[in-house]
Amino acid sequence: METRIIVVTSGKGGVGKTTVTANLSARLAMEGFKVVAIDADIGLRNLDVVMGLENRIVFNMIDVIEGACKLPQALVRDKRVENLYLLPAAQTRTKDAVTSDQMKELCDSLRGEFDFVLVDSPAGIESGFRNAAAGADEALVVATPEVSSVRDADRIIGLLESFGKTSINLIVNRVRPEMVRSGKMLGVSDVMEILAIDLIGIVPEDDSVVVSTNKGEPLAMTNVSPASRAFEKIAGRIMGKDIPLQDIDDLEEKGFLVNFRKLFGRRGGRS
Amino acid sequence: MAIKGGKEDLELRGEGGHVRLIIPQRLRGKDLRLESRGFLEKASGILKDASVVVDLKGSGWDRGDILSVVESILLPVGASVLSWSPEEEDVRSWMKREGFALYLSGTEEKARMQPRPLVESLVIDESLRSGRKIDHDGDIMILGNVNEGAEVFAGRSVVVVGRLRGLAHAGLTGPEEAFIVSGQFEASQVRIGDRISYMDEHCAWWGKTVSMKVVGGSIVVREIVL
Repeated sequence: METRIIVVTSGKGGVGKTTVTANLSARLAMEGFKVVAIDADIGLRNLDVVMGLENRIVFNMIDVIEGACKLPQALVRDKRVENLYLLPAAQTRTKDAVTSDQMKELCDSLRGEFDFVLVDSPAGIESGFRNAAAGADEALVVATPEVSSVRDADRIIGLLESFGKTSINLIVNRVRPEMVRSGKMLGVSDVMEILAIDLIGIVPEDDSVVVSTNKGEPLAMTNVSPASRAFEKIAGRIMGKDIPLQDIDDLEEKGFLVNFRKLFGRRGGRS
Repeated sequence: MAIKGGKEDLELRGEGGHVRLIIPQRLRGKDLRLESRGFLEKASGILKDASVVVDLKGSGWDRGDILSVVESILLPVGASVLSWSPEEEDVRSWMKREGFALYLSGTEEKARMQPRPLVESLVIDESLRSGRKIDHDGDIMILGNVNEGAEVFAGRSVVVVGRLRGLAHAGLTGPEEAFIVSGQFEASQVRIGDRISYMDEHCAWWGKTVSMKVVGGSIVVREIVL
């Protein structure tokens, strides 16, 4: 298949770009695709930690760009999932160490070698984001149901459109169904109404994300939880499968209380 | 015609269709109340129900001084203020900010009376996302939404067919006739000319189709019922 290069971005920091990148990369690799996750957050690298590959980094993306090593030397292969690779960022450099043209050239050099290239963008709208987006064909915009996150996502979508990106999809992350139902949190439909782009998935707030991040084991590899199920479905939709979007209630853990509530007909909206 | 004492006294002049009242700086505050009694004995016949341009000579005029002028001279004879003409630029600035009608010099008045040049309207056929800024001398029409974080600055009027959540500033070159119309109004702030209005979701017109324009120095919002 033709290589698909996808930038994962958001504008606002802390909304889950790195978690989404790590989990979708792992999930796609588990589906049999050859995947590389690129950490484009130069100077503040985290993707290696979330993927549990920090101990095996020798070279990084800047070394490749500056010619200090060949691209295959800098790629870190994940031993747990076949076909999953990481191209780490440099921690001791800044975002000015790379230009948009160099990033584009780097991404182009991965075409033909991989099925999917997922680029984890830094927060913000400055050069780091622009470089991360430069080489990508598609974008996944991650937003949480908070007013500030939605506003930043709106800004990012506007910039991506101005860069000529036409395939932009939305992931609404860290949704808390109970808070949505009680009107204390924006609903997915509220976010969609403002951002007006295609929704590719909803990820519920899930404590196991924190545990997996700290352990360096993406949820998609080991765990069956609401978030890991959501990532599995999003990966499926990226692959082109027709998977219906979840009902808000289905995002929660199944259990006595959920079943009890459903028995008495209290349902959340479909998103 | 003129009623005047010395150089530092209250003075009244007839000036084509209106009366000009000249108040020297030394009469700011309490002194004006004392001096106005004698002055009104001579001038009340002319000032009664007249339209007056009030000249404020010198500097430092504040709200209290303006109130003294109204209470001591204008109210007793039923005169109405056509405009205020402060000499000092600082006084002129705060009075303009506060919405006082200011007297325009001959050149300014002439410029105001000149028909404004025709400027083409700008039509934007899409929604404005956060961070977009549109600036145009004429009317602006947005055939979409203006999201929070987007800004529209128009010399004249702004029409947002969809939802207005960002900033709309109309009337930058002519607030008199400028208006803002929104298909669904959800903006926390609107500006027309030098007027600013702050609003929130508790306003009765929040989320409704509205028009806004300056009436009597304030932004007045009206719901449009289609």
